[in-house]
Amino acid sequence: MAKKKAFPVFNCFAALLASSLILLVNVVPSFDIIERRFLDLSFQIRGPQNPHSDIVIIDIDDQSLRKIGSWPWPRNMYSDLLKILNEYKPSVVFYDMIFSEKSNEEDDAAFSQEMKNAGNVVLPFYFSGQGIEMFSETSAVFPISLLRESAKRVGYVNVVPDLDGHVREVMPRVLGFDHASLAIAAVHLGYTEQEFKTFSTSKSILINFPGPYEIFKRISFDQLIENYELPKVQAFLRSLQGKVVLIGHTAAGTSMDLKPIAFSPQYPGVGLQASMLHTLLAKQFIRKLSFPLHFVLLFLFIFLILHLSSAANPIRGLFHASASLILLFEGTQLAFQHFLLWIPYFGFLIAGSGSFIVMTLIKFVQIRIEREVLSRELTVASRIQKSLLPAEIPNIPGLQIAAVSLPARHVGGDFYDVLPLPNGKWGICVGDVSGKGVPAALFMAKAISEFRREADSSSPSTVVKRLNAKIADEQSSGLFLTLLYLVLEPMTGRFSFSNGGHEPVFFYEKAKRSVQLLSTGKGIPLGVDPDSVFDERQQVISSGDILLLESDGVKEAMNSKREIFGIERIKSVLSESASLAPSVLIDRLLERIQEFVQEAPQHDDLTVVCLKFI
Amino acid sequence: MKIHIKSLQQGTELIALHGDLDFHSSQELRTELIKLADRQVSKILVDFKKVDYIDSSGLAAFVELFQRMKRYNGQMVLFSLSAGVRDVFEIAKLDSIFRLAQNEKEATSLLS
Repeated sequence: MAKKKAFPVFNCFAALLASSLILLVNVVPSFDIIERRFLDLSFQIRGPQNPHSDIVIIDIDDQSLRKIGSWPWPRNMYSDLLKILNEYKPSVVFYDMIFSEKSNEEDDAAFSQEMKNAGNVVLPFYFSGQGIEMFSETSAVFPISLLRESAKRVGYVNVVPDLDGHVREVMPRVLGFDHASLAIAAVHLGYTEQEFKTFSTSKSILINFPGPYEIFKRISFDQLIENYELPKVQAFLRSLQGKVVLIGHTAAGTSMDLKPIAFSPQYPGVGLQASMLHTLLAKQFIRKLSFPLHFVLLFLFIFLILHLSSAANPIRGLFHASASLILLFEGTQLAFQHFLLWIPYFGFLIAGSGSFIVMTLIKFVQIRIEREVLSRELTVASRIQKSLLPAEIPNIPGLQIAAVSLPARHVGGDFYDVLPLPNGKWGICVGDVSGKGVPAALFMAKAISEFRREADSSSPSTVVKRLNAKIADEQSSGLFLTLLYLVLEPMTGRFSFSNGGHEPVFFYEKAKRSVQLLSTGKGIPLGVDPDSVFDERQQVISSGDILLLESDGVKEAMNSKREIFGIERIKSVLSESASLAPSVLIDRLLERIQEFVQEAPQHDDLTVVCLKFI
Repeated sequence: MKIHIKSLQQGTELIALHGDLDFHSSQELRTELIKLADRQVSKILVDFKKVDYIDSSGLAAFVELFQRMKRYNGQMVLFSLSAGVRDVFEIAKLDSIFRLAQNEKEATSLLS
C-alpha cells in the first residue's frame, strides 16, 4: 500500500523533469522544425478559407509572356497598366518586382508621373545578403530613385524560410524598414506614420495562409491588356474600387520566386504577400501557446500518461495512453481552428510515448525484482523443506532402503520418513499434501512434525487415526493429506500398515516373481473427517522381496500427449529391476519416467521410498 | 474442461463436467466449486458422464468442496462415474465418504 501512495509523488517528479526537458529540447532547431511540420498539418486539416475580399492579384503568367513577349518588358507596359487600373480607383497598387535598373528615360519618367498621379503605389525592394547577413543596410537593393520617390511607400519582400525551406512567418520590420505586406496594409487602411508605428512590430508574425494560391481573386495581365473590352474583364475592373491590387510574376517557366508552404510545394512570392496581407487585414493572427502554459500542460499530460500507464494491465494502459494522445491531437486542431492557437503537438507526442515506455520499463523491472526476491525466498524455503526430510536413511540391519522426493516447484507437499520406534521396530511413511506450492509446503511441515510426535509403539492404524484427528480438528484451510504408514520388524520381516487415501503399496515377491498392490479396507485422506477410522493390514516380507511406496506424482507423471505413466509401468520397472539395490532401482524408475514424459514439465511432486529385505 | 452449472431448484445445483479433470482443469473447477460452497448451496449434484480421467488434484477439489459443505450441512452426490474414474475415488477410499450414484435419477433420490 505504501508503494501505491508514493507513486503520485514519483509521477510528479518524473513529469516535472520530463516537461522541462521537452521545453528545453524545443529550442533545438530540428525539434522545432517537426513542431512546425505539425503546424503545416493543422493548416491542411483546417483546409482553405476565403481570402480577405480586398485582395486582388494580376498574374504575369505564361500566357502573358507568350503574348506580350519575353522578360523584361518595356517599362511603359507598367505605366499603361497603372493608367487603366487607376480609372477604377483601387486603394493600393503593388508591383511585386524590383525596378532597380533604369529603363529608357522617357518610359521611366512616364511611369514616375503615373505613380505620382495615382498616389497609391507601393514598390518593393529587397536585401541581397545571404544567410544570417541577409539584412544589412548595404545589401538593400532599392528601385531607382525616380521611381522610389514617386511611390507612396516601399517595403522589403524578403522572407526567411525555416530550416526545412518552408515559409511560415514574416519579419514585419527590419532595420527600420517595413515588410511590403505591412506597407501595403498601411496605405490601404490609411494609417498615418504615427499610427503605423504601433501597427508595425518587430516580432515575427506567423502567416495565416488562407489556402493554395488559386483561391485568391486573380486575372491574367494579358487578359487585362489585350481583352480590355470583354465584359468579364470590364466587370473585374469595376470591382477594383477600394481594393488592393497585387501584380506578381507567376509564370512557371521563368519565375524564380517559388517557395514551399503548408498548402503547396511551389507557392509564388506574390502569394506570400497576399497571404500575409490577408493575415493583417483579417487580423487573423496565429498565437503560439505561451511558455508557462505550455509547461503546465506538458506537466499535466505527462502526469496523466504516467498515471494511465502504471495501470496493472499493460494493454489497457496502452489503449488509454493512445486514446489520450489522439484526444489531445483533436484538441490542438480545435484550438487552431477556433482560437487560432498553435499548441505544439510534437512535444506532447514525444512526452506521451516516452512516459509510456519509461513507465512500462519501470513496471517490467519492478516485476523482475519482485520475482527475483520471491525466487530467492523460495530457494531458501526449498532448503528448509529438504531439511525436514531425513538427511540420510538410517542403516538398518537386514534391510536396504532408499528414498527420493522431487518437488514440482521450489517447494512441495510430498514427504517421507524412516524413523526408529521405541519397540525396536521401524516406522516408514509417505505422505502427500493436496495442492502445491507454498501452502502445501507449510501444511507438509506441520504434518511431518505431527507425525514424528505421534509415531510411537502403537499400531499404524492407531497412529494414523490420532494424526488424522489432530489435523482434521485444527485445520480449516481446505487442505488435506494422504498418508501411508508402515511399521516393520526387521528381524522377522513382519510388517503392518495403514493407508489414509494414499496409493497402495507395491509388493514384489521374489518367490512368485510378481508384483502385487497391497491395499487396506477403510482409510480416507487425513484432515477430512476427525472421526475417520483406518484399517490395518499385516504381511510378511521375505529375503529378496521389495516394498515400494510412492506418491501419485509417479503414477500420474504425464507426457505431452497427456498420457500418464500408470501403475503397470511402475510394476514392470519393479519386476525388471528387482535384483538391483533399492537406490539403483529408484534411479531406474526415474529414468523411465523421464524417458516417458520427455520435455513435458513435471506438474506434481514425486516421491518414492523403496526397501528390500535381505 | 467445460463446466456447466445449472440451478435445478432453490438450493440445488447441477454441475455437468466435460473433459479431463487434471492439474490444469481442476484449478478452474476448484474455483467454481468454492463459489458454490460460499453461497452455501445446500445440495450439489455432479454429473461425471463426460469425464474420462481424474487425477489427485481433481479429487482434491471435491474433498475441499466436501469439507466446506460439511460446515453448513450441505449434501453432495456424484453420479455417472466411469469405471476408471470410480477406481481413482476407490483408491483414495473416497467412495466411503462421498455419495456416488449410478445416474441422475438415483442421485436426486439420494438427496431428497
